[in-house]
Amino acid sequence: MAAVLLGRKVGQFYPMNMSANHDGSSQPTRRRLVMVGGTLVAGFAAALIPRLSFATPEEARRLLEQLTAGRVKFGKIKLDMSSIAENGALVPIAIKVDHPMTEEDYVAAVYLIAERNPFPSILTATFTPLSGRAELQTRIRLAESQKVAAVARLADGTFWVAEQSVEVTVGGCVN
Amino acid sequence: MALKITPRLKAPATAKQGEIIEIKTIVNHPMENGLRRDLEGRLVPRNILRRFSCHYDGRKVLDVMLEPSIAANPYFGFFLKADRSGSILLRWEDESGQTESLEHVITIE
Repeated sequence: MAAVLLGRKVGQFYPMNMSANHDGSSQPTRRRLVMVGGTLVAGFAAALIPRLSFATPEEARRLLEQLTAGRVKFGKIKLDMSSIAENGALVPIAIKVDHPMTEEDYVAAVYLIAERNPFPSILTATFTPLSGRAELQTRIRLAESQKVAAVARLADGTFWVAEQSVEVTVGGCVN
Repeated sequence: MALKITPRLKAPATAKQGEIIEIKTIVNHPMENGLRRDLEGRLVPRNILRRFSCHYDGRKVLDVMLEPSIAANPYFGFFLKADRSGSILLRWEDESGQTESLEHVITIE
């Protein structure tokens, strides 16, 4: 099941009901989570991040159990960004994956996730051996102080993750 | 019908065979995430670029699916292995399927 979940592109924007709210109802929460993004966040988040932006921590733990098969490891990918973001509307980041880009062995995709943004999935980038380097620079929005994670999927199916804690002075999603 | 945006790019015009070159690009677009309110308090509707792609002589180099958390005026810096003279085509696509393209010709010296 983890393989099916991880096979879906994070970029497909499907709202996912993370089930129970505090009052016991099952209305979709305001934080709509992309399915794979949510499971990816749960997957590494439970290991790296003490608090999650899910309805309940139990759900996150459950998703982690569904997701893990030891498939996500630290290493290879580097997330370059400042630990303080003065302006959450414009946060420069650089993703670098230290891995060859040959025809047989290359970085297939990189996912970027902000655990506390209204839309946690930020981007999905697919590379090819023609990329030369699995690197991408861009600028993102961060709603509040949180952890940002970058996950690399290699052509051989392995996943690698890096995370960065960011203090956000002025949030960038509703200003 | 194309989007009314003006993309710009910075990339070398020439490269050596097999050289990995850097491409930088920016495009003006508000990337409205649908959560912002205007001065009257109304929600500004969502309007984002969904996709950015780079093709080199018809072959895919990079494909980025964008979400609302990409900052306004999306900027991308990335790399490409220059193996033949040809055209580098950048394309941006929004949610309605409209696209805007920018071409850059590279010559192997």
